[in-house]
Amino acid sequence: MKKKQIPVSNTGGINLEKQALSKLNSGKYKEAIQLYKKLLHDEGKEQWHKQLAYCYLQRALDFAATGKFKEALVLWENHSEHTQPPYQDYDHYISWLLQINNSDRIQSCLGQLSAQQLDKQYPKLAALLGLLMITEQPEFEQILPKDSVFIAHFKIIQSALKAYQENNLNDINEVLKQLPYRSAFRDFRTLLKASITVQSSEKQTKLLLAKIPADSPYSQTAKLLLACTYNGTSLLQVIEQFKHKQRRIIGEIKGFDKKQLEFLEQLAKHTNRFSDKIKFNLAIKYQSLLDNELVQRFCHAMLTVYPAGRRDFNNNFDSVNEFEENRLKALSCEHNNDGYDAEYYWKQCIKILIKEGTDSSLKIALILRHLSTQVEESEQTELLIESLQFDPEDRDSYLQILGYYSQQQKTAQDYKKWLTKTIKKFPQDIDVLTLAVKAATRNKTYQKAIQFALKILKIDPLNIFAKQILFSSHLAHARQLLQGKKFHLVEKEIQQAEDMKIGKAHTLQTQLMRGFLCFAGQDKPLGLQKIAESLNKLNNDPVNTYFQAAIEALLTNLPVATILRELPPAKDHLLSEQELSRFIQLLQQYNHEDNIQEQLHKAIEKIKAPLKKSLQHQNYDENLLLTLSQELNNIQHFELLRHCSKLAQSKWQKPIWMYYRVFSETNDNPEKCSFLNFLKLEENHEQAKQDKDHRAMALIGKFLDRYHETHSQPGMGFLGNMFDSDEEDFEDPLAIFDHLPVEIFRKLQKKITSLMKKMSPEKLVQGFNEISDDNNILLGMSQDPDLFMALLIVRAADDLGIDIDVSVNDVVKRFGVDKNTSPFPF
Amino acid sequence: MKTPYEILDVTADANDVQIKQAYLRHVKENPPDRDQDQFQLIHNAYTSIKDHKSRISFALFNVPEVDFDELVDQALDTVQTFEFDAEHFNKLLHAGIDDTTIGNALSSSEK
Repeated sequence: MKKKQIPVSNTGGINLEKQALSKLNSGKYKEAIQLYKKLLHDEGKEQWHKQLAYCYLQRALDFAATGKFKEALVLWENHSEHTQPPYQDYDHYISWLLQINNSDRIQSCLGQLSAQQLDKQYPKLAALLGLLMITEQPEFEQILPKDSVFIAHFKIIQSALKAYQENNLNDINEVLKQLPYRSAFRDFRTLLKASITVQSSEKQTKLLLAKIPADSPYSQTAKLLLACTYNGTSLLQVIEQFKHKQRRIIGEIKGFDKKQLEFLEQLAKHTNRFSDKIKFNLAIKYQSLLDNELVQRFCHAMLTVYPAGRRDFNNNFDSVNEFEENRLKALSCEHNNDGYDAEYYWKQCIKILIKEGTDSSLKIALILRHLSTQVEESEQTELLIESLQFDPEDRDSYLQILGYYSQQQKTAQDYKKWLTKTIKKFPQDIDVLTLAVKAATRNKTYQKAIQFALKILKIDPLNIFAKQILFSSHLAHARQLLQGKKFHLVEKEIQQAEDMKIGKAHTLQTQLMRGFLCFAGQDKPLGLQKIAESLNKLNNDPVNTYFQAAIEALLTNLPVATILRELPPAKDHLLSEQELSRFIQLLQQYNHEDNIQEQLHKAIEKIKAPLKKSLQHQNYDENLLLTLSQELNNIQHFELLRHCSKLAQSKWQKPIWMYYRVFSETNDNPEKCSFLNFLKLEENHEQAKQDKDHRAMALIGKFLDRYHETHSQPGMGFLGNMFDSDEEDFEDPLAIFDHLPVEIFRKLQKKITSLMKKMSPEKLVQGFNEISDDNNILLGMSQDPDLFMALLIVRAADDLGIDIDVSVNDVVKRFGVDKNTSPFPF
Repeated sequence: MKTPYEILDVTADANDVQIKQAYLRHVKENPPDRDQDQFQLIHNAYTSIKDHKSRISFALFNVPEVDFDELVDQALDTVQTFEFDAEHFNKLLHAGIDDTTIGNALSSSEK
């Protein structure tokens, strides 16, 4: 092939020399060689010879680095033609000859080596030659200079090896001591020492082997020796770096039999990437190397992740029966998050167990309970109820069933039925009795609540919950009796509550009740006086006094206004943190009894003004406001909650406050939640996730679920609820986006939220080139916020490059702002 | 990964009393203030097999752990003690010379 000619300018030798030097300096040796050869053709300058020799040498080294040793040798020889001995990198030249095993040239070159070169100039070549002489090329000893230190050291090494073969370990150490530190055999010495210690001290061996550098000719042997010290999985970690022959030698040294050697090869073949199938098949194939129980257990376990191995399993071990087969399939499906198929296989298991008879009842019940954890709540209860047919004594299932039925009003009858069943089944169980007390309190059957609370106290005399319930049940019953004007029985109930002696506050509570009894039955002025006295002792501020007086009066059906008149005015009082805490405590105390929400709302009405004022002016702690919001949420007092959350949100921009705000603004009706608030909630839900605010996450998540339930129309139809309209024939202009799938809309959502934050209507309108009459659009926006939203959607889609098939003009037309809609004549 | 039976060192047919005794013995040897993780392991093992119902439940729903390492360790285990002599050393020296040995020997030499 014709060589590519380097373009050479015709300006003479000086330019050519410059070009050659430039190529040399920039590492373009091939081109430099051509130029120097051309120069030397005309004139044999010494300098050019030197530079040509340098270029040949660099090319040779480059070729050798890529494993092209024959080419490297030719180039090195070309280099030698242009320079005088001693030649540069002669050791490399010899190493390349060794690499291609050109024995004639090797012998000739080694014969030309001087003792000086071997001992001083080429230490790496000497180390390599040393290894070759010890192993494959002992004949080098005859060629190399006899007067060299290298040969003297080689003789020492031979003595050491002889001593090793004769197992004369003491002699080895003595012999090795003769080698100086800088000997060409120093890595050999370390390796030999390591091999001597390998049996007695693995640690010492490892320390010694670590001293052998990675570029030493002995490093591979050091790695092999190190691998011999490893067992099992540790060996597996390193085995892949070796070749088949090397692995075999390691195996033989470790005493592996034929099967183990084969297993080792298989392990190395998969280079530590073992799929479930490979693991299973290796275990089956090499089971003779394993304990039968272990391999069977392993393969059995593997069937859950590798079900295709079932046939091999049955062929090799006791076959898996039908039940076990289905069980493993079910577990395998669960492993792959395939709940649907898992349920199918578990049900197959149940069918098989039913055929087996009563002994399997517990297993059936457990499977049904297991299934109940994988399905939706409504199905859970059915499965739990079914499980009780097979294992009727399972207390946890009863409690779970009750837990589910207690959540909804529509299942109140079921709750009652199951509570009765559970009490009958577990009459001495405190948890069950506690549920019974709560149910009785909810139903205002205070006598029942008292009975259950007494039962609890009989089992656990220190049970605080039972004591408190008993106390409040006595008082609640007393209020009931007071309403029915059965005054003689009221005193008895109060007395029973008082006899419990569970604290000063409780005693004051009974005194307050006596005041009401006195007011209702015997002596109004005295009653009023007693009420005022007790309330003043119970509360330190007029607001809470007012509130408690009002709620107690409402609960006993006594005239609120008459009683409140006797109390100091509360209108202008600002509640301190402590007083607000007392108010929350009162809310909790009275809300404990269900179905008194109406009375609570009425009582709050009496103190609403000072409460709002306090929230406005006092600098309450965030946690206190959160507790208040929680209670207001519980009693569904949306007005106060709205007030509280709005103020709190202005101070703390946290997801929980956004939730309370939307919750109160919509009166807990997600249907009324505007689209904008929906977006904000979604954003805050994400924020709560990031903040790890689990409470806010759960509350917002639940609200969003309900939002989706109530806005379940496909596409963008739910935008229609953004602003409620009672008109039946109302045509929603945002319906132009109805064709968009929800997925697309979700993509737009974040962008819309961010645009809303940073973009005013004016800026938004200015951003559209298609809009010629900004003022008309802005006026349209002020009249219909949907227009702003529609333009935001178009802008968001535009920014994200999503084709929504709705243009600005479509929006403008749809909202009728393409013509002058201004109500003004200008 | 050990099964709860192996952790508590009881047989698969051990009864409630035997399991509880084994649990208490293990807890005594590994109190929570000494090694919290080990204690938790023992406690979890006990909880999963402490009574008849939990044992049935364990047998039904426990996804058995697969430990391939344990398998490899056993398969490559040898009965004989490890012996290394001059002959082995010689074999390793020979095996240590491969295509890369000569190439690498001078590769890091300065040009």
